[in-house]
Amino acid sequence: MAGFCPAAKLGFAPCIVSDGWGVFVFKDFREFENGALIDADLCIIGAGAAGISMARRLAGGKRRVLLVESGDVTPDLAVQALFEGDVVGQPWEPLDIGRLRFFGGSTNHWGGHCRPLDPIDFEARPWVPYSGWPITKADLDPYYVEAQKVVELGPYEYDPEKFDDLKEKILPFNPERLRQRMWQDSPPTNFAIAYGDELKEAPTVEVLLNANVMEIVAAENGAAIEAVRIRTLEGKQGTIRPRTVVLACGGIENVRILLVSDGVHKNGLGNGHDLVGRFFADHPHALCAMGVPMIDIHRLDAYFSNFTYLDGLGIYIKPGIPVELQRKLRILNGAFDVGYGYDRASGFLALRDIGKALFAKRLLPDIGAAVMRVVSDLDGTAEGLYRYIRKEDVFWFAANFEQTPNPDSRITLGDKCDALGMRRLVLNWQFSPLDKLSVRAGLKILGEELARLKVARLRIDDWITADETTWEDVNDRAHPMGTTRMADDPKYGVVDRNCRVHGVANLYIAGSSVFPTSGYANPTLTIVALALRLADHLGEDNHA
Amino acid sequence: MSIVKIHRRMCFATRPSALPRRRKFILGAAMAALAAAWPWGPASAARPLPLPLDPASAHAVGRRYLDLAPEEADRSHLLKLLRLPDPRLQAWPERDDLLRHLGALRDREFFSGDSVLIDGWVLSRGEARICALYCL
Repeated sequence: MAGFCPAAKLGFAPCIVSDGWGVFVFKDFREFENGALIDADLCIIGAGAAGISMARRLAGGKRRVLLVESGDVTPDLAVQALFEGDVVGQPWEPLDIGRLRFFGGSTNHWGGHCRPLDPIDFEARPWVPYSGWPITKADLDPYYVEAQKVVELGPYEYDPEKFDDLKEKILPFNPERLRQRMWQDSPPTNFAIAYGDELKEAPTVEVLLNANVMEIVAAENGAAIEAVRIRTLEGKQGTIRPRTVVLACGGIENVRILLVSDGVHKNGLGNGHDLVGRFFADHPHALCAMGVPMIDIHRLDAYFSNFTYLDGLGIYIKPGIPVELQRKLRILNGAFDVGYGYDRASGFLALRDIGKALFAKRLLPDIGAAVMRVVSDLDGTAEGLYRYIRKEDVFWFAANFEQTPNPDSRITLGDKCDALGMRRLVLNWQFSPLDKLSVRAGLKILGEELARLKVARLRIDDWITADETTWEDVNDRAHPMGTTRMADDPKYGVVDRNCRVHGVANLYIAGSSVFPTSGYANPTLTIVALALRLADHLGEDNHA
Repeated sequence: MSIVKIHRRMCFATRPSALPRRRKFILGAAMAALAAAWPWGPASAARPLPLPLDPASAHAVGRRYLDLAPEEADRSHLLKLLRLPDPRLQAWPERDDLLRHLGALRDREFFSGDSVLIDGWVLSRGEARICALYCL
């Protein structure tokens, strides 16, 4: 059911869309007059996890917040195509696949896996070049607590030993060699569905859809932002006149907007030291070892199964490298994913999730989608069931490690342009020798502990030991990070500890692009925590 | 599509090339079974040394280990490292005692990180030394 409010009453025609999610009343820039001028106290560019979190946090305050989104409330192929670019270097999925360009951003399809960064992720570690945040984990902890609520998680507790129900799932690893690392699963929270109505009602927040940011315009002296130029796909143009700007378009698009904004800063905004776009990191995912079980493979499920439901909370646990051992061996932080041979079918996975939820007397969130996966992959489901019943198969480990910050892993502007005439990006994802060395060292420890506990014997894949640099069959996890990194010294960072772009008084950046190091945890919880922290910082009167 | 994509990432493809290796690599129960079947070295009395692998694999592992540690290519030296008596000079342990001793040694080595990688397999150094004895 859809309709429009009377345009005369409001002075413009808002866009009301309802498809069963809810009814959002947002502004549609396509309905504005060409050349419109829009004033705002705070302009947040990008309505994803970071942008929406900030808008909610600042709603009802003294500032008028304008949340600007390129897309609409539903996806559009032409808009999505604006994300296209080229991938060179290590394989990364096409740039228009992992990211979503409509209201809610990538929360429209994320997996919901949440874990905060570890304290060591914030430290400057002598064996990890360019490591160290200008803030500590303790600085972010209060915001992690609040971020847990935003993404609908349980208590801010990630030590599995604190949960009585998990004790039987914890392998008695030697804690000096391996620790159990815990994740919590968000439903996953779709920020558009969860918070669209709230933003509609928020008196000091306006959402502007179908407004593509073409350039952030700096003042003549380059020390502040004067305007944000926007444009629709159809060619309508407008100008936002903000007092403060927050760029919250994600780890890849933040780079693009900064680099194309070269009217005054010729190398792009915030790029005086050629750092914008560098230090691109993701969480490389590659199978790296096979485990031959020494116990019933179904018992292994108790230790390694994903999506265990604990009082309605999805949880999973992975073996990870303790901090002391990282220091001793001078390796990166990381953990290991576990999977089973018969788990390769999407339909069987879905059936397993349904079964686990029923066993826990809970309804699986999004059970409709799970049933569809079973139905659409009957062959895979049948094969998976057959092998499960026969207790066949080995199981597999994949590395889940952070990456060494690498300035040569970078995003740059290419020569091709999109439908708006904006230059597309080129992603060159690179690894460092320490990335692989860390996985290799971690696997040896894992093999020793699994054998000692008589759980499994491990065979490490040949590519892990072959050389220092080659990665085989590696995938990304769609976690782009690090490209406008945080550092107090502008020679090492694009933003300072408050996420303000060095040298530009009223420009800030939110999202995973500010991470100086990547950790091994999925980034969304940290993205939300940092966004809430930035919102509080901007909420102070002296930042008008 | 994206949910399926993410879950597919959790599914790991079968590695058929690894399965034949798995069939050769039988631990645990094979230790006891082989202990009764395989003599240790042509010059020994029929006092079996339990192998962690089937004989062909044990031989290959032993060879690879001795390539890594050529200084250990001596039966007496290996026995000493395994804290086992020389059967030419002392009484050889009973089978159950032997298994217990080697099992405890293996556990200590894994606990302390004293392992070797042979053809990608994470073996305790003692397991590799047993295989080395087998091929000397």
